[in-house]
Amino acid sequence: MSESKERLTESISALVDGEASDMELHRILKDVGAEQHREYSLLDDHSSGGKWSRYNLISNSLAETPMGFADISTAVCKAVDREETYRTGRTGAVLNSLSFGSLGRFAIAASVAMVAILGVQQFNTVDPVQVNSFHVAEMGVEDIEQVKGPAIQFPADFQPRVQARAVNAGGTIKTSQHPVLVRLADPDRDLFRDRQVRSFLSEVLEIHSSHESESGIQGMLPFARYLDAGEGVGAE
Amino acid sequence: MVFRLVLVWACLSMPINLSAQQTAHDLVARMHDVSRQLSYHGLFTYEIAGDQRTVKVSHQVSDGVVYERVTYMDGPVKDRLRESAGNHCNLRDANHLQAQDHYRFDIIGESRVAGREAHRVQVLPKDDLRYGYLYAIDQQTGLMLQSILINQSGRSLEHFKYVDISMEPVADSGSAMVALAEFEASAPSDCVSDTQALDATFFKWSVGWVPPGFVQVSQKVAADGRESVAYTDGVAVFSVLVDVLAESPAHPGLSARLGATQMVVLNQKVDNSYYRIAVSGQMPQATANQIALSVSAIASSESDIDVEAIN
Repeated sequence: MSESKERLTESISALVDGEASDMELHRILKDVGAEQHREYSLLDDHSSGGKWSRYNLISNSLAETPMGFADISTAVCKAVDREETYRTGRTGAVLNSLSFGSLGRFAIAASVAMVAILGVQQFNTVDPVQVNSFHVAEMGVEDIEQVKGPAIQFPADFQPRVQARAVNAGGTIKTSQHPVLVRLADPDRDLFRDRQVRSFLSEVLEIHSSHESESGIQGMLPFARYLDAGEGVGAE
Repeated sequence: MVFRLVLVWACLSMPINLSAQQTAHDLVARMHDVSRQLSYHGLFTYEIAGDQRTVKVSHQVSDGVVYERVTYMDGPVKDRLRESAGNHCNLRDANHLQAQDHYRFDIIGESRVAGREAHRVQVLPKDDLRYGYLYAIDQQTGLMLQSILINQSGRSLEHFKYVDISMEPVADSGSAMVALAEFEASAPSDCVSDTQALDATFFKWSVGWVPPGFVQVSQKVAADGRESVAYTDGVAVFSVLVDVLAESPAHPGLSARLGATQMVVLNQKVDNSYYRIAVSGQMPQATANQIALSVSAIASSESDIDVEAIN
């Protein structure tokens, strides 16, 4: 990439972030005008317009805001229509005719999707103490361990037949939707060692275990859960 | 000829598949009664968050009274005994439970667990409000021999499995279960003994929202005045506890989790009295939050109740 192109790319990035100077804006507009004259489209990888589109797409994906800059589906359909149709059995010809441009578009689309997935997962695993809309003193160690700790292995002959749902971004309930006025836990206070809280939660579990033993279907399992809770809750 | 064979196979296979689906639900529905009425003892493993424990268990039923003993075989010495008087607190009625509306039940195979032949049953939720389960159910007795609790993304959160079990009553209950006097009653409490009473003003709190399919099955008042109610959808159980505080709460609302058990505690001030609302059960945190937030005091006719969230 030439120095001027590199500088132009930096200017576009700055413009997406709202930090472009007048000089940079002038440079971008001049380049976009030249591209329009040459009939570049938003899907051209190296065009300023294409970079502007992709940067906004990534930015909007991270911010979880609606994409307002272009009709992606229409653009994708047009791009597909422009592609030649290849027959099976002509693998070599297909490989030869695939341009790095189309591969690049696929890579960009995949990377944007990955960014979106990672973003959602990070929102889902964020420490509730840091979420302003539902402030709770998070005592459990399991939320973290369930995501980062070792997974319980399924027996070889007992795999669940679950259709994979890698990201659970939807659902009818979202914690952040509840306007609860719950005081933020004092981060300096070590709730893990708060004997009163541990004692109360242990009692909650015992009562729940009692209910579950009588009304549940899992036999001795609730009793085992409660026995484990005696030292497990807040002990770590 | 081939067409006739295909036709016969199609006619035969359809009722078999329907029957299998029905059987999977029946197997799970029977687990409640079997687990309460059967005497057995054995050894199981219990694993949460990568930590596995080995537990020795004895479950003996005598004259309608259930005596349970659980002993941890590794780690800190822990031994608990519990006595519970049959089903007197339980108002579970299978006719009122519509678990099939909220879970998909499937027999996914046969297996051998703790030396016994078992059905592999998969119970998967149809929404994101509850967890799924994989069960191994003893073919002979219907007792659950293995349970794997899985979250919405198919990740296992808890694994319970018998490695050895005997369905015979303990020969010498005196030595195996120690003296009956040593058993502690499971939370001394008054139970509501009929369904109609569940709707009465026994519980001064209203649980405004529960996941679809959950019905109330028990409620208790402990000796110290704590009121609690339990709900089930036929598979999962959660409980709501209301604790009366003598003074302002010492800690804010909180959320805690142990294995697959989620707990949410919120504080409320009603008529200058302080209360703690605790929701506990094997469910996603969002579901527990929603339930806890919906709990409110039932206004009495004598005075308007001033409710204030003080969390």
